[in-house]
Amino acid sequence: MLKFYGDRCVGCQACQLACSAEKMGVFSPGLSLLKISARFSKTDRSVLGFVCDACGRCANVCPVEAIVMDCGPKIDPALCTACGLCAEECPQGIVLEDEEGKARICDFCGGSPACAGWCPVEALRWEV
Amino acid sequence: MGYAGKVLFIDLTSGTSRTEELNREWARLYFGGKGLGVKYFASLTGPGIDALSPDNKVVLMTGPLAGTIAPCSGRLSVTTKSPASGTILECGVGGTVGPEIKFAGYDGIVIEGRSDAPVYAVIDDDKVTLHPAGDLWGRGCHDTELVLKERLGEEFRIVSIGQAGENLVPMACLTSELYRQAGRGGIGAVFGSKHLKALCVRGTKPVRVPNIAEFMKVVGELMREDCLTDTNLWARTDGTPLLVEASNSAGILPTRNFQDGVFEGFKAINSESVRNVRQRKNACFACTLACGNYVRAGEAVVEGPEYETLALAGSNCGISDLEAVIRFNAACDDLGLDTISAGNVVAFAMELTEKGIHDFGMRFGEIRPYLEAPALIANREGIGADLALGVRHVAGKYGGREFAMEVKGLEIPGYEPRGAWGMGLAYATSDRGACHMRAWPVADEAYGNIDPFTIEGKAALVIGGQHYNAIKFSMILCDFWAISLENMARVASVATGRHVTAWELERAGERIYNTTRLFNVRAGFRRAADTLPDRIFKEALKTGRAAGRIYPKGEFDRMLSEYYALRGWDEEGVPTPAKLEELEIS
Repeated sequence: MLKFYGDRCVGCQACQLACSAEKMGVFSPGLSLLKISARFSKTDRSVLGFVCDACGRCANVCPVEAIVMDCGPKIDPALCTACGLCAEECPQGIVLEDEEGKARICDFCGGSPACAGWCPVEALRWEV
Repeated sequence: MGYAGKVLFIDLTSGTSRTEELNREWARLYFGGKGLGVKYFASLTGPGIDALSPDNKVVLMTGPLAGTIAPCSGRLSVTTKSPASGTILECGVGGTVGPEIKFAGYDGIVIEGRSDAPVYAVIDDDKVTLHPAGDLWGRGCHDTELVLKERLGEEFRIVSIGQAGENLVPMACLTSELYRQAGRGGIGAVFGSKHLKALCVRGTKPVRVPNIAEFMKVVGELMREDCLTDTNLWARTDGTPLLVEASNSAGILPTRNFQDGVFEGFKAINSESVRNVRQRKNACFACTLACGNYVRAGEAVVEGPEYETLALAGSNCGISDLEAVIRFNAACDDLGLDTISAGNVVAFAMELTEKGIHDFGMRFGEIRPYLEAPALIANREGIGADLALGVRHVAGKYGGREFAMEVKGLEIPGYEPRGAWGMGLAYATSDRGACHMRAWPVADEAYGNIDPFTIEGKAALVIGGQHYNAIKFSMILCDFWAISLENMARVASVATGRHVTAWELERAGERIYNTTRLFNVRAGFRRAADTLPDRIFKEALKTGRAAGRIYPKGEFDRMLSEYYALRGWDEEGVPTPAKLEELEIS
């Protein structure tokens, strides 16, 4: 399971860059399948993390059973109809669409997530 | 590859913007960041311009690594002409705004002209707009950034000026993410003179490298084996406050306006004290070191205080109360004031008061007037009207020139030259006045194993440092990764897709340093300006490792001549035509 520890996170976003590099071959926090958001106020500072916790709601809501829960959600693009229901349902807001509108969902890189591998402070950990 | 390929020009006078193709030849010779920034700036302006006129420009430049996962690459270089020193002025700021500019599709942004009324600029990918900033004018950087994030969206990255920049204070900085600054030389005043309150950026475009698998392999290896190592991890465990103890031990911690190099109250402001009030660690974009310390003392919070603030606004003002330094730091960040120059001018006012030369109503160690000073300076009220103009101005008006601690009008940072003679040369020959980020020989001479009290070998040491930092800040990499030129060449190669050598990077560093020198020479600077305050040459330090020592002027002059000769500059410090031709500088 992918675990995010906000008190350890330094907000560098290396995890997001590792994700977009692994999945899309480019560097782009916006194309990554997790979100890190630094929040500032005059009296506080925090980092919020939104990562897949394998809740399975995307798989449950999929009308064509294109998503199955394996190690994490696993999508079959051939079945996906680009209906967008999984993205709406995801409580973390981290399901994206590809150029055809089909869902892109974190699959934990098959059990060795790039994001956790690049985290320099163990704020993002793959715990089995 | 590695570059976005476009530079954005924003003309505040006409309220329009346009883009130009990145000059690829300049990118080959200067790489990015500082190098490309000063090249664009020097090519677009003349050395005789008034820094606070619409003729001045601001060049914000990223580099080939911006937006990638390369560690310590999350910085932005900002170049303009300094209202404090009259030299070219290049500053760096961390956080996330630099990479965001790249994600918006630009390698750099050039800001030109002057708006009639206050505005803020919004760069949302290809869409560039200017908006009235009347409601933000008069407010601090913190309010400004938080209001703009509320208005535009949390994901916008912002740099802004506070009251100091609006009031054209020559020690006004840019602030980003509340506590990160492009600090020195009055870059905030240049924004203020243009009526530009803030720059807000959101980018959604991907950054590409020629071969992502190769890039990840090389960068991953360097991150594990070269970056996240004991050489650099002091930045995470402590950050720059670690230097308080080191400087105090070496006798180079500026104390009571550089009257001494040892501070009896140093334990109250050292790294252990900062760690005791630390809430969390923070990093810039893509930084694995995370040097930032978010601290809380009483009701005061700040990301900091960095060593320079602890030294100049701590020991140099005789302040041994960490909470007071944190409050001073937070006030300066909000008002948009450089803490190095602000700490210096307050310390100078304290000494003038104690010596009976002029009564500024503040003495070393007194907290109340010290904490009132930042707002007075930023608003140019009361004693702040004079202090805002810096120690050179105050000395010219009231006296004390021999202990006005500045070079070319820029106040001296936190390393006492009498206890580190190479550092004196670094200050004297920095391209923007007294600066610790052009070369940092103290690492070897005060904290290391090289004799600090000799000029032997120092000219070459300083030149090497100046070239190394120039290219490092052009890549853009942070100061805190002690990466070799060989490894930097590996990163540059996988980012740009062409074979870059360490020799080529060293050469580019020399080219960049000569480019800034040429601008300053054309602006009228010669050997006479490459010097240090009289206090350094005539007054001995009282205690510590350098006790009883002055820095002999004759030795300094001899070293300066050696420095010029090694550089291929004439006796006045002017680069020779042969040197410029050799470096392909036009």
